[in-house]
Amino acid sequence: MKYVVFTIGLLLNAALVYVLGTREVLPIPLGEFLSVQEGIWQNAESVDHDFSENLNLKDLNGKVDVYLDERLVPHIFAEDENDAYFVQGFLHAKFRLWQMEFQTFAAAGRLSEFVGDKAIQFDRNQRRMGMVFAAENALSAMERDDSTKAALDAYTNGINAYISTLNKAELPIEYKLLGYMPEKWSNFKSALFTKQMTYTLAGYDKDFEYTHALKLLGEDNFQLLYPEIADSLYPVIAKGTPYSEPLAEILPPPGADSVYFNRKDTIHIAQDFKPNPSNGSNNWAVSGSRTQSGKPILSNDPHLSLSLPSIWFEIQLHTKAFNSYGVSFPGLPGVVIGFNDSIAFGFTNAGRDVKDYYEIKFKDQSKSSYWFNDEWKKAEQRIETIKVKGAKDVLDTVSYTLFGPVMYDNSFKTELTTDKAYALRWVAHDTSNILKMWLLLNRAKNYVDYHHAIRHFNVPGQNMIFASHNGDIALWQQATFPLRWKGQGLFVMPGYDSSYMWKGFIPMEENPHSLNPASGYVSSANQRPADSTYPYFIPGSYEVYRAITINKKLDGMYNITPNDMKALQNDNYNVFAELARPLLSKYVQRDQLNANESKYLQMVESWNLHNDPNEKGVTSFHAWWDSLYNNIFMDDLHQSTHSLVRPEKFVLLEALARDTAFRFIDDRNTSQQEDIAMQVTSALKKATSYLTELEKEDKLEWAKFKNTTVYHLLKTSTLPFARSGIMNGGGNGIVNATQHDHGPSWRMVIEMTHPIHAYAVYPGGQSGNPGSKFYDNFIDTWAKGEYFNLFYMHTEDTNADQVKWKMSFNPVL
Amino acid sequence: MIVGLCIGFFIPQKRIMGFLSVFIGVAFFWGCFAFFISSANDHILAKRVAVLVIKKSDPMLLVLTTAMIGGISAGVAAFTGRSLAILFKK
Repeated sequence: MKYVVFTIGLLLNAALVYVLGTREVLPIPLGEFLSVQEGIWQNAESVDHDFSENLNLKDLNGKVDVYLDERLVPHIFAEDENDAYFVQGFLHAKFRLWQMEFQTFAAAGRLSEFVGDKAIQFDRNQRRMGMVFAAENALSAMERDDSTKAALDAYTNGINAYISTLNKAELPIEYKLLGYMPEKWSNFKSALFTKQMTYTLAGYDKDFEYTHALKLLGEDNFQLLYPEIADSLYPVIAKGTPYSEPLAEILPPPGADSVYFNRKDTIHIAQDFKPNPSNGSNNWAVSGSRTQSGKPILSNDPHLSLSLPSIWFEIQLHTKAFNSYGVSFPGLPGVVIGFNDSIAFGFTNAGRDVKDYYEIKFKDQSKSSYWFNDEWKKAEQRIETIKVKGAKDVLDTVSYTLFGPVMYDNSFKTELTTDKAYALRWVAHDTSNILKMWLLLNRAKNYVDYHHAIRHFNVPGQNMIFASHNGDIALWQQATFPLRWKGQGLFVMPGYDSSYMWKGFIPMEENPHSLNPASGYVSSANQRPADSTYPYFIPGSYEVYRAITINKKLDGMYNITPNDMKALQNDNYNVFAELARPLLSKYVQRDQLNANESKYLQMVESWNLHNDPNEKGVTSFHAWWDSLYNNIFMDDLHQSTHSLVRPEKFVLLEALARDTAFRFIDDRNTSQQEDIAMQVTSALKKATSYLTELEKEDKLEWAKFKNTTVYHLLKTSTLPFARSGIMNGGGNGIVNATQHDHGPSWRMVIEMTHPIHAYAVYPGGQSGNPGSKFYDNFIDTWAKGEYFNLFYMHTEDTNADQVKWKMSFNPVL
Repeated sequence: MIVGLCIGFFIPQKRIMGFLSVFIGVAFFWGCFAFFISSANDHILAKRVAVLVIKKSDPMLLVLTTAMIGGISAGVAAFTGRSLAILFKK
């Protein structure tokens, strides 16, 4: 009997270990996860936590003092700048280690290692795109330069110094959730991070979609739906700015008309992963001639996916060589957007196309040779090993050609004929040291220093804005941009010889730029950098409307104060609606509307054109417009099952404004010939049923509909770590570019007075720990459109009220 | 669990008492510890993790769950330890 009891006990024990100790039954091993000694309870940071400590570490050259203020922003005081980067690495790891690892694992195509087989396609996509290849090239350039190598080494050592102090109990909660341990950091991971950032900003492409659209619609219709320049363009560099003649005329190769512009065959590529086309930003700088203080004011708000932990980490680096403050990327040393005691700098995305595809002909299934310049050329083959949690390694062979990696072939998601393959030519693969720009910017004192610094930056193209204490304002659209003949790169090109390769790059001095213009301000909002007089072909993905609002407002502003600039960053005016609404009002057939439809018409017509949180007119307008857009385009675009990129909204607006007999108005699926009045009215009717449902769910007000949410990086798996229901305004094409989960990830206004007046905020918190009160404590301030006064510390401020904790780093020999 | 096993093995008592005494002890210890930690944290983390684990944003329920898991694991180990010891008794 006692044997039976013992056996029962043993079985019960085994069952408990199985259920609570493994991931076989429950998704998380609850025994460990809820353990008071090692589980999540150890991540529940006391609200009175004391961050002061003394650390004795090797790899430091001298003593470093870090003053943490009440927002947990570290102000690092080090003599030697490499010591500052070391401590920056240590602190990035202390507060954001999991995020840094997760982002670089994603960059390297290694998510399957801890997520399992559902990430295999993603990982293959990253490898085949050449992310690791690009990072290797970046690393070699960064390590060849003494100063960037020293900075990276110090930064890496700092991160690893932190990791080596971690025990199981102190692991960030996401490691406990997913069940893995952190790896050591390396310079290579920082290089990977730069490429992930590049993908986010310069990774969007439309080559396959455009190629398909051209074949489907023909040249004329293609030009109508995808025009190069919008009528209402307000370019980055003012219209009328003279441009020098290009050195030589760039012509397409012979035969381009038949082989490239009028190809006979079709291409079937489905691209699963693309960066968010809304990734962009606003920036502007007003000169002293327009400000109350007589000194320039620089403003920047980068627009990215809103996430927790935040993409940015606020920091100050005070060294013998420079004193910089701003936001940094956990993954890279230095201040990325910010200021020092002489200058301020910021960035918006250029949106220029620096990515093209070339059709490759392989000799055979081994894909080891491809046809190029009349002979079979040997391809370099890389075997990518993808480790998969709970399964066998996946091996993927990628062939590298002179153009770049053959990303798509018959082994990676297409249904094309067996011998067609597409190689990717991407500026991101080219060797360069973009970190050097930031190391130089952090210490720059004037325009010459800034101009010298930005020359090191080749990708992703950015509108780099500048303001200095001595009164200069400037903006350069900087990167290495390919020299293209008109039309080159819109579509997939033949890769059988060198004739379609890029002829070179646009000389840097000819990149669009402006220094102290007569207008008294510079600005950019992802719009096309120049009008048609710019002598080069510059395809890209450009926004139109934010620039219009920003320029119109700045044109009329004088005696500007920082509060005026903050107000502009939070401006909710919908200039697109201003232009589109009259069209809707004019053509809607009012006598055909029932009471409900008239109600929504009323809402749209009485709306004040501001995307304010309580406005129902915003939602109604958008539903109506989107419905009209679908009425007009979906029948034409859905003729084919393959993906086509949707024409920009300015295309429809300007086409209708120009020509009410726009040929796409008619619905090709009906025998009736629709006209604009019928489509506008039908759109309102369709929108009404949608809006009625929304109203029943109390989601008609703009903020409730938009439901701005800052998701945790693991998205729907960790909804309790997100913050949703943020009731602010804004939207796509609005200066306050806040959408559902995308928007101003940092808002900064810097007045270059002495002392500097600096204001900023971001939707998150300095700590990446969901158990810390510093995880999301800035979100409410950001949502209200308010800012914090930045504490730009100097050596005499060590006893200031703002200083709450002190970390002392002591070198150990 | 190891602690529970040892207590059960070495301390003479009825098997069911072995379970009960260790269960109550550990559940109480884990419960109090988790509660104090959570209070100091203003229950920020417990509110979030509770949704993940027990689908309700109830920090006290999470504390209770923690106490139960700790108590049951240790208690069953103690029971088994006692049962093992009894096997050797003549």
